[in-house]
Amino acid sequence: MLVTDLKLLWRDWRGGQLSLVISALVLAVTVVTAVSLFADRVERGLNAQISSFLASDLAVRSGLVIDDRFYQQAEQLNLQTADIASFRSMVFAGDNNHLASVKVVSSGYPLRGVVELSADLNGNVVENRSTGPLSGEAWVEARLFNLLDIKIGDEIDVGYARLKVTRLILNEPDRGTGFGAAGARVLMSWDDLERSQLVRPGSRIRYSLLMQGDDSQIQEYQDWYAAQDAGDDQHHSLVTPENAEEQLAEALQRGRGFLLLSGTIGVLLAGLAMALASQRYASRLTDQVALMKAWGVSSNAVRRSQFVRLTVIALVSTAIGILLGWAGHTFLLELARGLLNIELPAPGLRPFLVAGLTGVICVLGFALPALWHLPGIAPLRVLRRDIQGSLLGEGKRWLIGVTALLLLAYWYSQSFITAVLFLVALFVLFGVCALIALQVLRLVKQLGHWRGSVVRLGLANLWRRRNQTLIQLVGFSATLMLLLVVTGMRTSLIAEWEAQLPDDTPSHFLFNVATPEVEPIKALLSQEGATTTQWFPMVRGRVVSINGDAITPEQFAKAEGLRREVNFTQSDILPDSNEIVDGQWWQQAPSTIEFSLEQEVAAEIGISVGDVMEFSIGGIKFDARLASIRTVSWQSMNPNFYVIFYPGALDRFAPNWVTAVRAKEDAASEQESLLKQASFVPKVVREYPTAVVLELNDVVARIRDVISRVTQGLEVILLLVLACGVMVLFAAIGVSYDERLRENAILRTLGSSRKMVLGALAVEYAGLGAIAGFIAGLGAEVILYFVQLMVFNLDPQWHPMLWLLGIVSGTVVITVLGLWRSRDIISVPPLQSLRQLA
Amino acid sequence: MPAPIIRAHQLSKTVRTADHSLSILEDVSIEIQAGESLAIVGPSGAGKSTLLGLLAGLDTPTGGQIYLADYNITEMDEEGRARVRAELVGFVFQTFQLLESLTALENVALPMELQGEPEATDRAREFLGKVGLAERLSHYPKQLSGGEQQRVALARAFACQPKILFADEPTGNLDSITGGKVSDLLFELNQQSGTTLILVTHEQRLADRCDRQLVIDSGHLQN
Repeated sequence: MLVTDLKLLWRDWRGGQLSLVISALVLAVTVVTAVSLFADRVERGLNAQISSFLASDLAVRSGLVIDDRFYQQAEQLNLQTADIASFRSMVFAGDNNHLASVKVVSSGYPLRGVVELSADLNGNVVENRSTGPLSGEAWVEARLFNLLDIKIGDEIDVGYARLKVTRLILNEPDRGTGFGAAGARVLMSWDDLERSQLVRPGSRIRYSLLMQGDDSQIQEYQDWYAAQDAGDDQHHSLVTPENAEEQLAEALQRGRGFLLLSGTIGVLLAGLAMALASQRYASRLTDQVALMKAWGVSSNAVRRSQFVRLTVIALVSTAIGILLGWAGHTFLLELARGLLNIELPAPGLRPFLVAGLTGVICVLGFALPALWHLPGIAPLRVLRRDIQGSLLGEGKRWLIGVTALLLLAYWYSQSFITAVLFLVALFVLFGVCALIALQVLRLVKQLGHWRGSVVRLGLANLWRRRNQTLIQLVGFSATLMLLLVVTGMRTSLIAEWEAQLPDDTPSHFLFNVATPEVEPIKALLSQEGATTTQWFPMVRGRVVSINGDAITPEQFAKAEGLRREVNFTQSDILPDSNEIVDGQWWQQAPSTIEFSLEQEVAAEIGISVGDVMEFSIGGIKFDARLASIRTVSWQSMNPNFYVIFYPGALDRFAPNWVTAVRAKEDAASEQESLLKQASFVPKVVREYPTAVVLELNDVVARIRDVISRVTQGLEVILLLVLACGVMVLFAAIGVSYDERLRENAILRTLGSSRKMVLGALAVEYAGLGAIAGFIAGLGAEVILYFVQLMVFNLDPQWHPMLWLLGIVSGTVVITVLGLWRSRDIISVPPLQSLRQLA
Repeated sequence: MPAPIIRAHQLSKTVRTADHSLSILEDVSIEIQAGESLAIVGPSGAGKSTLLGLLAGLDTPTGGQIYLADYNITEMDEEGRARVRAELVGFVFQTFQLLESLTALENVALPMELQGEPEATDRAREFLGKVGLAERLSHYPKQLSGGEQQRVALARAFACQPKILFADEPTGNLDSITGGKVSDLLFELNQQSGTTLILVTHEQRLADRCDRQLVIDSGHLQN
């Protein structure tokens, strides 16, 4: 029997009855596979890269020597470990000295990523090392050669340790973006730490225990850590790749959400196409089943035969879909290779599992319900063609289809709430589309009256078949709308990202500048063509109490930003990219000391305007009144502060000054600018040795790079969603195919020219496309308005181009594909059409 | 005298419409001997096709009993009747009922394939030869004329070697010359295989070629 079933299946395929069902299924699986593989690999690739920002998968950090229990647990879980101690210390070479950022690493460092080194000062030959320096050696950053006037092979003193400089550091994986990496980097061996005698009571050293292992080991360590109460430990903190580089993590999160959403839309469209195509397949199978039953084939045998056929369809389509999806994702990775220079890990099993399940669920949810009634068809139908099988109730079919969609959306998003919300939104969307479509259709019908016969016939067809037209309109307009939304959202995403990184993004931070040095440095910078943002005085201090009540550990736990010493500043003008949300920025000098606080921190510690907070700077305590609460754009790459006092409050604490600098752009390439220092840097560090210059170029480059990568992924998925939309179009035309075939045969028989039939069809499809495009443009505009307003915090803008794109592309695509799909209607001789349908 | 292969006893069929019930057949009793050919004739709407459907086990009567060979098919459920049909019954239809996506050869072989007959294709070829379509094996129904399509249907019916063949207006969709040729072929094959033939027809010429005729009018058996 299996052979017979396979034969039947082959003949169905050969007869073209299955091609749309299978194409839709293949496409659904292709979309899922490509999206999952792409997302999975890029995400894990980026995660690995973020890990390399951390130089490990996980790190425990502390201001004290890290507790043994953290080492023991790592050992128990077989994690690889490495140690880092970092601090600022003076380094000497002859008469020259510099306050360097010293990083002491054990030989295992880095566990992720590599240190890029060079043995010559021009950095021409790059070596990648995944081990730290040997005992007695030091690797140093380029500017230290200038600062100390040394060359490769010379010796420097770090504390009591004398080290030979053997390499120039071009890049280190965990350099970070914070202020910690202020002085020129000196990388030395853990074995020399004791000899240097720099570890003394009171020294400010940050220790890190780096760990590396597979995902489950890392997860286990995180679970153990969470169970330890160590989460509340004031001394230790656990750093994961996710919280290591929040900006990157956030970009990644958005990108992934977008990919998954697009993927789900693709599957939904393919599912819709499958359901429509299966309905047509079922109507074709009805005669076959009635005949088989008249010959004595039992209902069970019919059911079994269908089960076998569907199983084979599911297996083969899924296999093809996975292959195509694989090809698709490699193709897309290839396209993105110019920007994607991350190392991609081999794909995990999950994408394949998700793809396979998508195949099964699509068949069960979309194809099977349409075929469900077939085994119950009465054999008497062979004599009386008016007998129909009792179709599975429409309600039930909807229920099954929606359940399948829900399952798929859940599998995709891994969040039940997201899946439900997504589907509800989609169905509301369909309902609204249907309502608008009906009204537009009414208008169009009126329009047809005073047009030529071809146009009138075409438009009349739209109205006459309005139930079918509505289904198609809803399908088309929803598809187009989602595509337009996706396009619009991509534009918004990029716009937002670009807005975060304006062209005048600073290239350097300059800080630790003493008050008398500010004016001469300003002069030096302008001489070198560099521009600066506002100069801020900065002192470090702590917050102590609110309205006389000491701040509790719980409050500190929430407001991590205030937990340790914080940088305070004073200013009489509101810094760029800050916005007052409560209270008022000072219009005139206040009578008491007043300050302004960042919004999130204010909410976390529960303080409101008018409250009094006690501060402690250098052991001196004083009270200040909260005058205003501000939002701060942390991504702005400008010096940002939680606490800003009214000028005067900090004068007695001998502040240092900080500013962001934009160097004169004269480097020809990014590579060059990385190696070549901005011209002001050596002058500043030589003339003002205590001033610290931090280069932001590479930080900015990294963030730009990630943004580019994520956008590439988005574009790739768009194409697949588009293909799914085309499938819906085909399936929808298929639904009315027989009727059109019959009508056009009759029209031709009655003497209409081929040109007229073709013209009427073209008008009908063009009308369908234009209406769908119009509704899509309208809907997309509404959705984007809210997306811009609420998700991206952008000022909503109209998108006339989207409307145009929707109407033009809807008309062109639907007319061309519709006529192509209907070519038989026009080309088959009328007599043959009539006989075929008899 | 051998036992009749079909026995129907006091058959009736009533269908419910929205406000009343409509009697299509009433108190019909017949016996048909194996190898006999019987024509059911009568005006349109008399209940001919309904009777054919009941006798073939495609439908169930509201009252009465039907025996096919020794099976009381009125006592059986649809699965049981399906088994009996598979064992005993073949069909020829007015609208041919060929599957569009199958070639002539595949159409003929299909019922045998469904019964697991290993020689299905060979036998299909043989019977298509008998109906004069040896050259048209790989043609699809829409590439064949009406007469050719009905010949394929005859080949399909006889290739399964059914004990009883039910034919519903087998020439009803054909012109008189083609219809004549098809009915020649039907009776020739019937004679060769010794099949019991029950046919429903409007055409007196076709009915006259049968051993016996039953006239139905308004659901009642005449004579």
